[in-house]
This record gives sequence, C-alpha cells and structure tokens, in this order.
Amino acid sequence: MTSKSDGSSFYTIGVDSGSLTGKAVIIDGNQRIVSHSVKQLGFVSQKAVMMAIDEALEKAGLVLDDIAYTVSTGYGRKRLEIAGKNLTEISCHAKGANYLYPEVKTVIDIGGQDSKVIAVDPSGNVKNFAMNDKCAAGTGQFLEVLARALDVELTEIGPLSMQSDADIKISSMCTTFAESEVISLVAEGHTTVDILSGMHKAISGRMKGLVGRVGLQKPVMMTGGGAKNIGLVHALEKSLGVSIFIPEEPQIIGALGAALFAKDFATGIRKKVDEEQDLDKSRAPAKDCGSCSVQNYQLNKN
Amino acid sequence: MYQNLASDEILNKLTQIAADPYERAKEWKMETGSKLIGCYIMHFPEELLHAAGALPIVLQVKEEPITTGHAYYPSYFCGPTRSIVDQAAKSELDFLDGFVGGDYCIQAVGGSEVVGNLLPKVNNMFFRLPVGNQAWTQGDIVTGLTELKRDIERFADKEISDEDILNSIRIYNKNRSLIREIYELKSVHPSLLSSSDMLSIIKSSMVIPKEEHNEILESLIPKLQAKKDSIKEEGVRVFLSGSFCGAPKNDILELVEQSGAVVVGDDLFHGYRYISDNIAEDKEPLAAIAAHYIDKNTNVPCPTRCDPKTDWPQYLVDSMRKHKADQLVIVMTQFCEPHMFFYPDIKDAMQEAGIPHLLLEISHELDSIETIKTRLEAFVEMAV
Ligand code: SF4
Repeated sequence: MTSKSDGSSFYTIGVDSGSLTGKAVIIDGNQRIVSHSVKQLGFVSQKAVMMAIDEALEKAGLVLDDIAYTVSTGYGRKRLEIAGKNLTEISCHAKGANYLYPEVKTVIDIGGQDSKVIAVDPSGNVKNFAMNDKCAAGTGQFLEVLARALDVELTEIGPLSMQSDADIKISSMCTTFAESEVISLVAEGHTTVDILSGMHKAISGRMKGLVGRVGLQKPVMMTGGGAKNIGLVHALEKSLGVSIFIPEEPQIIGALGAALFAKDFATGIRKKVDEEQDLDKSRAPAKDCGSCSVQNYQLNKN
Repeated sequence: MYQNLASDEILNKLTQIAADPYERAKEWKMETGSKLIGCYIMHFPEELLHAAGALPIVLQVKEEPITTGHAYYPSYFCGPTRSIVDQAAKSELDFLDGFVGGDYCIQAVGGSEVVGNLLPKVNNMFFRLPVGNQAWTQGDIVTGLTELKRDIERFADKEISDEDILNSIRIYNKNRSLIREIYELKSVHPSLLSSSDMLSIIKSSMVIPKEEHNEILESLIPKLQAKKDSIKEEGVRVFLSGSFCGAPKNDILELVEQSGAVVVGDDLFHGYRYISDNIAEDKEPLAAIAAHYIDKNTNVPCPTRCDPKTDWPQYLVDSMRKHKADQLVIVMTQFCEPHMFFYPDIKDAMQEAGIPHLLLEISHELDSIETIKTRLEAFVEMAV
C-alpha cells in the first residue's frame, strides 16, 4: 500500500442506480479506477445498488468507512442515503466518458428506460443534451420486450442481427405497437435474425433524430447497456455515418462519472476540472473488433 | 378580511381558488344574480365584458385526461383547446351565461366553434382581433371591439357607456399594476415567491372578480415587502418562457425550483404576459383598448399577433439580460403551432447570445415527470 500523500489511499465511490441495474465504481485520489461492479435485479432496485456497492468494496479490499465521498446518479439517485450529493446521469456520463476518452465530443447513452445524446466539452462538462422524452421506444426496455416476443436472449440479439442482410422495416416505434408488428412479421414467416436487424435499424433511425437535436460531433462514444449490443452499434454507425467508440464496460460510465464528481466534491474542486486529462496508456484503445470499426476502451484497473 | 392573514395564508387562499377555478365565479353568480362570461383563454377585452355588469372569467385548462372531448376535437390539436372542448362536452361549462370565442389562433377558432356548439344554452359571441401592426390595424381592432360591444349589450340587455368602460379599465389597470409590483419584488428577491405562487396569483386573478383580487393583493403586498429581506437567495437564475393559453403544470414549475433554480422572470401567458401593460385612461376607451393590444405586444411579443415590428427572440435575450438570468427554460404546449413556428428563431438567438436553453414540450396527458426532472436537473447542473 502506498502512502496517503500520493492519493492512492484516498477513495471515492460513484453509484448509478439505474432503472434496471445497479452500478458502482471506486476510484482513488489519483483518479484511477480501483474496482467496479454491475448488478441487475429489477426496477430501480435498491438491493441491486447495495449489492453493487458491496461487491465493488470487496473487490477493492475496502469497507464503506474508507470512502471519503459518495455521489449517486441514475433514476434512484435521490434514494441512496450514503450519497453526499446526487447528480443526473447526463452530467455523470459526460464526465465518465471524458475521463476515458478526453477527445470525445458526443456521448450516446442507451439505458434501460431512456436514451440520451450528450454534447461534451473538453473538460467533461455538458454543453447540450437531448433525451427521449415521450416513451421508452429506442431504449433497453424496448429491446427487452421485443427480444421476449421473439424468444431470444437479450445478449444474443446483437450478434444474431449481424447475420442478416435483409431490409425489414419496423415502422412503429411505440413499444406496444412494435411488439405486435414483430408478431405479425413472425407470422408472415420472416426469420428472427432479419426481424432483429430491422429492430436495430428502427432504433438507430430514432436515435439519429435525437443526435440531430444536439448536432453530431466526432468522436462519438456509446455508453449504457445498449452499447453492449453489437447489432445496435453497427446499425447506429451506419445511420450516423461515423465510427462509434465503445468502452470496455459501457454500463459503468455513469457511476465512473459520479465517482469522479465525488472526488471533486471531496477535494473541493467541484465540477470544472481545468487540468488536462491525458489519455494515458492504460486508457488507450485496447482492442479493435476484427469485423467492425468499433473500438474498445479499456478501463485502467489496479 | 385578508388583512389579518399572513402572506402564506393569503397565498394558500389564492392557490385554492386557482385549483378549483370556477367555484368562486359560481358563488358570485348566486350572490349577485349577474351573468358570467367564459373567455376562450388569450386576448379578450375583459374590461368590455365587465363594463356590461358581467363577470368575465378566463377559461382554464384542466389537468385531467381528455375523454368525452375526443369525439369533438382531434388529439393532434393543442391541449388547451382540447381541454376546454372536453369541459364543454362534459357539461362542466353549463354554469356560464355567455361564451366569447376568438380568432387569435387557428386552433382557438376551431375550438371556439366546437365549444359554442356544445353549449347551446350559453350565449355564444366572438371577438375578431385583427393581427399585425400596420397603419390600419388599430382601426380594425376598434371595429372588432365595437362588434363585440354590440353583442354584449344585446346579451346583457344594457347599453355600455364610455364611463362604464373607463371604470372597468381603472379596476383592471389597478390589478395589473399590483401584480407588476409583485413581479418587481420577485425580480429582486426571486425566492420570496415560488413560481407556483406566481401562477396562483395570476390564475386566481383570471377567474374571480378583479375588485376582490385587488383587495387580496393590497393585503398581500405589504406582507411580502416586510418579509423580503429575510429571504435567503440562492440558485441558478432561470427565466421561464412560453406556455400559451394553458397554465404550465404546477408539477413542472415545482421541478424547476427543486432542480436548484430560482425563477427570476417569465413571459408566460399565466404570468407577466397577462399584466405587462395598462390601458390608457385618458383616451376614448375602445381606441385605448385597441392601442393596448398593440402596445402590450411590444412589451411582451406574442407569436399569435404576427407583428412584424416586434421580435420575440430578441425580447427574450434582452429580458434574460435585464433579469440577470443564467438560463432559459421554454415550456411549449405540444402542437402549439404559433410557438413551434417561432422556436427555431429563439433557438438561434439563444445560441448566438450564448444563453443555454432547455425546451420542454409538454403534452396534455402523456409526459413522464421523471424524464422531465432528469432533463431539468441536468440543465441546471450545466450552470453550477
Ligand atoms: S396559441 Fe397555442 S396553445 Fe393557444 S390555442 Fe393556439 S395552438 Fe393552442
């Protein structure tokens, strides 16, 4: 263990209480990620959040008392009693994305209940944002409903959809209507892979509209559970005409941003960190997926 | 009656009136045996109706979902028109003796027509308010006012003298001046009153006799004056804009403040727009009312007035600077065409002036409050 003065024994935690998952990230005083955890249990589950916190602490060999400051984010952000402050996912995703990739200008976050497009400045502050504000279409929940209708595991829908080169259109973007449209397509004899590909095209079309409201600026990063769906990422890259960078753990970016804010609060810096954040080696692109232009950004783990 | 109440008690009273907006008017009708006239929301010469001895009330949007009204007005029209149609279809406006529709917006024209048909026992009138600001506009507005005066005289069975109108103008001017006094207080001490309090003040003014409202405000203002210096001021300074015809939902106003902002000014119809200017008391009354329509639009431009000499986006930039506001929150009623038409220009003007703005497009029944909350909080966080 190094001494306290170099910041490595000073810890803050960021907790993202999302609509479907709980995420926690612990960083040290040098802003290095010490541990992280993602737990899925159900809607805004406090239990999942506590399990994520416990697991992150355990992985780091820490107890709650070792944590100098906690910031919460996500749908359940106001319910986390141990948090000193709570901030929206929008601010936290911007901050987390900027930490991993300081050049990033646009962040697309597809979460369980909503999707957001965030324009980020070089310091990780939000310049502008747009959020789907009317319904769950184009979100993780939308994909879950449709995956269920097709009897496919959520984790399989991305790779499966990549096998299709058919041009199936799903016109309705209302979750309920889209579900019945999918059922009709099944009845008409279309294959599951073709329908999945059509679904991703439909969502990416909708996301394109949201991106247009903020203005597309490269480089683009995708965060949230949606970024784990390779089929969706591809469809989005195609409709936006850009390469999209995917972090190794896209679901923890909000919690990571919260942990970074927690460090700012604990050290009195607050939000605007002026110092240049260099992209150090451990945060450089780790591996390129052979079949596409998506790059993974690796988190620096101790 | 209100002198002995604390400011919070008076505000509670106004909030109660605003929450059940037609109750006091119905009581007034029972007490006086006089006639009640419902006005179709924006731009009606309430003074002229008051001069006939009637009580004009501005019809209010109800937050409940539209049901019966669906059969009469399509769901792709704005919430305010659909809500008034729905109230008429549910016989909730049968207590009215008269109804005045208007032509300030295409959706209002259609809505007025439908409401008129749904209220066969209610005397149905119309106020033609010519748009623009040309050499002939004021004369045209006087003609519209003269036609309405003729119809009201017939309805009230009473000739309206210039003196009657002037008397009403004085009462209404007093109300506007008193509310503006409150606005001045709030602009310096924004946390003195919440935006929901301001909404209650304006909304209650629209639905009860102005004489009564003046009395309430005369009791309220000294109490606010006494309290102003003890209020702690903090938060991001936000200016609120838009929300034509319908009052913004209270839940949304509360969210603005819960997000860490204070509202330092507004141009809402249920806000400063309603009281921005007085009517001249030293001119021929109908000409003075007509001039008022042009002047108040210079004060706070309204997209329904199509006045090429006014510039709403620039007005917003200037107001933001005047009120030292950090951010602009635009509340747009879904399907409000006049507002939608101007929004791109407002967006450009804000970008050029470097003023961050957030557009909240509010539908009558479908919004996710949780999403609006996240958007508002993220927006306020941008300024912290
Ligand atoms: S101005 Fe807007 S809210 Fe008012 S009637 Fe017209 S469309 Fe509806």
